Amino acid sequence: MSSRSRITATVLVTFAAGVAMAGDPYLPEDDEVLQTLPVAVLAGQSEVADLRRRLLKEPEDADLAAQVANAYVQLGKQGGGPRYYGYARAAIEPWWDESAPPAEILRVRAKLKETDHEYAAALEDIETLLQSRPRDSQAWIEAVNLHRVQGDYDAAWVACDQLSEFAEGVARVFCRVPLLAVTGGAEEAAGLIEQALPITKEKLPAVAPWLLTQQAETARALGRDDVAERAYREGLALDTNDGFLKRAYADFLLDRDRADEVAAMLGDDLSDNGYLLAAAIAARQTGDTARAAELRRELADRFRETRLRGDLPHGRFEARFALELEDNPQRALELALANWDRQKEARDTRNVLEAALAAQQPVAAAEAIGFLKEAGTQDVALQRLVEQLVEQLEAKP
Amino acid sequence: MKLPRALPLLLFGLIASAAYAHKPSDSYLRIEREEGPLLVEWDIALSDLELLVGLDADQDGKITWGEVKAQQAAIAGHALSHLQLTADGEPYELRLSGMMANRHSDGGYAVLLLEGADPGEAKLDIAYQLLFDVDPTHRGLVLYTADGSTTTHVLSREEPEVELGAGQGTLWNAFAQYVREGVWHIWIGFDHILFLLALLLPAVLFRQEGRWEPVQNFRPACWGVLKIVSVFTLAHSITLWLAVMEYATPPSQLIESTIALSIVVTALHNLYPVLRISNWAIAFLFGLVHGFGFANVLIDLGLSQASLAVALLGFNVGVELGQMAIVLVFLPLAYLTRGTWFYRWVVLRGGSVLVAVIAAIWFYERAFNAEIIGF
Repeated sequence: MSSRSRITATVLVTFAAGVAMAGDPYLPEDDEVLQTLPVAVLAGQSEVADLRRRLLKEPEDADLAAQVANAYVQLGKQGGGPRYYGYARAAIEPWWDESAPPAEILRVRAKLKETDHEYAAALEDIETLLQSRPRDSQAWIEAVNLHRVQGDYDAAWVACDQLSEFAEGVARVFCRVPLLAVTGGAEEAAGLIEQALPITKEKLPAVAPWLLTQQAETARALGRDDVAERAYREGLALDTNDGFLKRAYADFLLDRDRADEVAAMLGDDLSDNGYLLAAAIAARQTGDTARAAELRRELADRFRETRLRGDLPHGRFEARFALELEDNPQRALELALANWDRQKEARDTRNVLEAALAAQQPVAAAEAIGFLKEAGTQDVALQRLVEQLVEQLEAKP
Repeated sequence: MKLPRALPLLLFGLIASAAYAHKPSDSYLRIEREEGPLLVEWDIALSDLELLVGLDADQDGKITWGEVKAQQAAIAGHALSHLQLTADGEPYELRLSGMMANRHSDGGYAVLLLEGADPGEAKLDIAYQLLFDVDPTHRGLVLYTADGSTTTHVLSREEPEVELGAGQGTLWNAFAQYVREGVWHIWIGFDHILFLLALLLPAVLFRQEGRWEPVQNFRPACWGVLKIVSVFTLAHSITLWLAVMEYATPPSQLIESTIALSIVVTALHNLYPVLRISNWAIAFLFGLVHGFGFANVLIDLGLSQASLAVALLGFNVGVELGQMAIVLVFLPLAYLTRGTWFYRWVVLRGGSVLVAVIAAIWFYERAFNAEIIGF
């Protein structure tokens, strides 16, 4: 970093405020729609409102509090946004700092910590929960997930095996599939998904889009684009609002120079930072510079407003923003590495590899490459990047 | 295959952390303290107001401006009962003067326009309680502008109060602040110092038949330096203004690289003055580029339209003062030693080589995002 940019960075923090407040207040027409509440939120609200009213009368009722918090978490996931996670937290506030609250409080508290990327703290809560309820499948799956997201595959397998000792059927499949896919068992994962899909679609339709996304991602990693494409589309047909699926499919399309399809799939709802990022990259790919600039600015505003309140934007998105929209590989690499310290899913690792490649600092990716090798992760996209990095390393004196 | 119980809940564990896809709840309090009444604009998210007072009268999931207006009294009532201002410890009342709308990155906001009587020189404090009971992660972001400079405060349930401070001087304070920033920027901006030195090194000499000769007396030396510094100033003032007004905004990597290149060229020109171009012409040409570099700093410092002229002028004056300080140190020393072998060979030639090498490394670092010497 040059001396100038370092100084710039420090003053930026202090003065970013003025920039983030750029929008000027205005007087709209009476019928102008200023805010759309997600349908799910609207439909669920009366029920949640009833629960909340009851909770106001009995704020010490842990079960009720957990119920309210869960309802708000659901609303948040269905497009309501993180403010609903805040409402959820308010419901369980009396237990927020307690070391051993009731199990249902622990469960939702862990979820809230996870949405805030506090994986270690979330895991602590889940482990406390499991001490009193050692046969809680859901908690075990959550534990597997938290270990996996942090890249601790050994611990994830231990948890998965413990679950398998008493649980059967799809619970085992659900915990094994995402783990197999990143630890050298992609083929086995694909087989398991194939087996589990019919019963999941029939008996657990709500989980089907998730399983189809797993199928698509596994097929993509194995280089079977046609299978992947079919699975993405089938999942989307089942649930057009699945963020996890839509972000993954958008990446799939962007990687194959099919940016125009990304815009069509995402439509107008760019409230999610991941969607906005994908839309901006797509606009850039199609050469629509005006649209790309507009979306890029909007995303930059969101990051700025997030910083303004003292939070950090999600590094997974911000690293890609720096690399793919701002052409700043150096910053992208810093962000990607910082994010990778906390979170090691395929997309996070890929961000590190791509930024290191663009910044011509292959050495910076060494740890991530070692991690992939040790886990035995199979992924054609990551493999290609690793090869390019090795080439770059050898070309350097 | 057997199905586990509590299936819907299973979903919980499966979905990989969705992360905060948008930002949590914030409200924005802009407080402007100039002469006269205190002006406050308070942006509160409509999603939050829906929960606090209820807005969506027809429950169609769309909040229109008409629906917001209908609830103006309830909104203002709730909001104002969760915000206490004090002036020198005495309660300080804000009055609603109107309501507008605004858009932030996460959706629509109602903007309460508030006014308070002229606080004079009183010390203002804020205690903020909005939304904390229903959303412990809520933040109140206070942007307090007094006499041209803005400070930011983040209010949370843990720290709901802030002291905004007493009223102080005038535009002069803002001006002085930008002057300081300008001086500071020259002082820490090694590239500007090196560029200036590279330009100034030959100013106490002149070329005759392919050789450097010392100037006869102080006047031409001083005149030469003055010309270079003035022309450099003129040039970077032009582009600084162009960039701050957003008439021209070249990418910063290009600018930073070109600045490094300008130093290389200037230093090399001292060693091989093959170009039929005088140093003041170089100063002008590259001054244009350095101006864009200053602009990046100034823009990052944050500018309000009201104080734009003050900021530009103050920053420029600061940069000038910084430069003059360098000249005041350089010129007497250079003038006294100009006739020596040491000046011509070690200072001029050796110095130029050193400057060229450092700047070449900078150029490489900035153009290719590499890091060699780390500054």
